[in-house]
Amino acid sequence: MHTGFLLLALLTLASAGAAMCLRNLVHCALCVAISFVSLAALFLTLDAEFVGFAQILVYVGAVAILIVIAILLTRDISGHGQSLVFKPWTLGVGVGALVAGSLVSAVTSSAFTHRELPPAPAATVRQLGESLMTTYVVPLEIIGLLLTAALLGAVLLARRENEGGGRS
Amino acid sequence: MDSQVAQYVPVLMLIGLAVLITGGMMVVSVLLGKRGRRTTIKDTAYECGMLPVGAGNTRLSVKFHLVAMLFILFDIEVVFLYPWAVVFKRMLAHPDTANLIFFAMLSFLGVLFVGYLYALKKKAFDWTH
Repeated sequence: MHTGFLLLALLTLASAGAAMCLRNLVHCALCVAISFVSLAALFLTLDAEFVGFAQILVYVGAVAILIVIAILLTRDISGHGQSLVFKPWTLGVGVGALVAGSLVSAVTSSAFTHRELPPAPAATVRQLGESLMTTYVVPLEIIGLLLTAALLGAVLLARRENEGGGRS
Repeated sequence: MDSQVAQYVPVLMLIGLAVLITGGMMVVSVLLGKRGRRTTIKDTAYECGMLPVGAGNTRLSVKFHLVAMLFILFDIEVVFLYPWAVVFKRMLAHPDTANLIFFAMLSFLGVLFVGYLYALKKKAFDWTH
């Protein structure tokens, strides 16, 4: 279990780092997808089934595809002739270390980490589905309305842009 | 916890098989292909017998982005279908919750279907316009 967590954490970090460093945008998108998948596997090892599958469905299935489509809209995917490293790179590393250090010190010094935590409730997908269909059925319908509003908004904005482009 | 992980053994086997088949295809094509005899014609991308035209990475129309956004919205809808599908049979068998489980998801999908019809009517999926 521990080894599995370490392997997945390493894979997530390595693929996220590769996504930032590689020059070819398609390779970067692939690395982002790998990092999403390993994150989903991390969730699954923590018994968070729903979050894991939602991660696969939304991030691997949709967001990664959206990134690839966004790459296909761009002119040059190879990234030639431009440096990916911010020139005084010591400044970037210093700022990163400062932020990470302050975050770590804040977390370790807080009283929350010293408190004895209750055992995590085993929230299975069945329990989640039951409460979604009984207690939280109204929020579910509201989410449906929100998604529809987002859909209408996306269509309306895109159509208006096209019509504007056609007139000008 | 180990039993939960054990549930995913078939998924891991499937992933392993997929990697094996795709990797095997590449390895076999390298092993069996005559690597020494490469010509320009042989290295040209095969395009149904036609001569390849233009670069392989042509830019897509920006209209495709709308399709991608709509795809994300419907994908989020599927996320809610997953816990619903898990409890569907169980709650449908119970007379108290049978109507709830059926009509709650029907109205959820119905509302989204109205949006889908609107997108269809506005020709959002038709990127030739």
